[in-house]
Amino acid sequence: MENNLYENGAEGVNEAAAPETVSQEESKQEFAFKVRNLTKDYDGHIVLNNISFDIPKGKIVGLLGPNGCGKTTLIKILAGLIHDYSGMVKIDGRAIGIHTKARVAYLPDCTYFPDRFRTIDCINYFNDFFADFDKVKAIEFAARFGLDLNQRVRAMSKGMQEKLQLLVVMSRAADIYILDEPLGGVDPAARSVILDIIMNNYKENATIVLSTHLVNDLEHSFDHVLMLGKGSVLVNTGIDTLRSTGKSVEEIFKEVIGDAWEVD
Amino acid sequence: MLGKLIKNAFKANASTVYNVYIAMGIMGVVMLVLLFIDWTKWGDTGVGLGLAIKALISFVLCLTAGISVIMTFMSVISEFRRNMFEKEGHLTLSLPVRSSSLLLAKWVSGSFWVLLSYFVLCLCALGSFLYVARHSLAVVQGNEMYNSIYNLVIEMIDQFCEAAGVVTPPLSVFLNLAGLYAFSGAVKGCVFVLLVYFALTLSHCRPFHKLGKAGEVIYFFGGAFVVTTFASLVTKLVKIYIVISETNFTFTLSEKEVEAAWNLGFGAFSITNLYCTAICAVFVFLITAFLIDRKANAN
Repeated sequence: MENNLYENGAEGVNEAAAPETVSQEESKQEFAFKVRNLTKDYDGHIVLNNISFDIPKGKIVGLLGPNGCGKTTLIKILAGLIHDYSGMVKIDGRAIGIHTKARVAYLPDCTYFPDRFRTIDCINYFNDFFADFDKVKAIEFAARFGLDLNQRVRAMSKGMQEKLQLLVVMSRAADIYILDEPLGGVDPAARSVILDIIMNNYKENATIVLSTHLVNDLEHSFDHVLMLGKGSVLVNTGIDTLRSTGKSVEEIFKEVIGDAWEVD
Repeated sequence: MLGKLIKNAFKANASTVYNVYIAMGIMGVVMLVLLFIDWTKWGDTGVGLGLAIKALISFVLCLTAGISVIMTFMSVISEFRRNMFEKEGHLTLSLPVRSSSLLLAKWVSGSFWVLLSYFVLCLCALGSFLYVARHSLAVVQGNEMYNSIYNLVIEMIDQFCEAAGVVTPPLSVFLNLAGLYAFSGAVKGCVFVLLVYFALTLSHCRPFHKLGKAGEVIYFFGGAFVVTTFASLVTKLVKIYIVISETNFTFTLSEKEVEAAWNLGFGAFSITNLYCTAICAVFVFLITAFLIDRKANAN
């Protein structure tokens, strides 16, 4: 079943054995992400084990997997926060660096604004550093979320902080959005609002990578699914291919993840 | 971008130390107000009480300035760690800026605040000394007190030079020498901050992260040892001095000329250690920027 789902057939490709040899069909397709033989461990505990995959441009990608499968590690690598990995990672054909960071809008799974910042400081900070940031849009979002522009981050609840981060990230006209558990800390009522913000405000033809445990809530939004488990890519395919099996993403997720899902 | 990074780094450090500076400012105002009180109206008791109050507030001011040095130092460490490698690092390291710009901004800001705290401490110590001296001398000498304070300072310089076994240079030479020592101290202060950043960065790289916070201390002292040893070795091999007279500065490699200069009432200052430390700082900066760019991980 797993092999049938590998749309790109990238898993297990050994770069040494086939150095940069891409098929003609593959070379025609534009990829937002190209990952080859990526391995990352924490003090000997391997989290990503020689994984290889490609993600086509302009897709909404669901990054799924049980806790500890390496989703956040992969996202951190793509965002340029982790450097001690082996393998090749390219975004839009370029190695991770200033150019990729300028094009990637990254939302982490933790709150990253300093406590002393007010809402308006966070907006100004993004306005200072990201050329694709729309300040007016961010202020409109803040009003929509009911965030006071002069309220300090330290005085906000965790949910408010997450909304603040989401609104600044989604106020960018980035080519790629990498969102790590954007619905993780919010109540079910707020989920639809946040999902609505994400789905209605990204730049046209942008690629969105959305990491989540809430497969059921989001599966209808995905164009593409990348499932990680036990350090490997278990599924990397378009949503149509998945649906052609007659099962929902959640059912396939449970089936593929197997024991790991039970542990969670 | 660098300007914006520096602005944010300044604000970040300021947010943790501004309270101490406000407190010192208030104390300074109180000290000024106390100057306008005529303590002699209450006789010897009033003079004694005035001196006690002024001595106490001067002591508290110096203590606060000392605390500000420690607080600034802690702020520089914690701010760098938090802003680069902890939660805030997720934002900082995802900015489309060069690691060297990030480091330079932190270094400029951290050095500024550390040097400011030392400067304020020195200013408070000197100010407190003159403040208390003024009270004592004003009572017994009236308007002559400023001459007395000046003479007191000159006498201290004489005693200092006598202890060092050299002829006391003219005040202008002494002030130039003091300026050079202050500049040298400032450069070393900046290198000190950079070494702290190096240690914090190295402790977030594999395999150096395993020692945790203890590693930060070890890497700092390791870095400081390497820099100091290099500077000392070069200083032993090549000695370059600036000889300061009342009219000009001249460079010399001869120790005999330096000795002669001191005996003639000139001043001399070795710059070898200073430029070696500066060269080391360039290397430490480049290594740290490389580590941030290629090796260090945000938690």
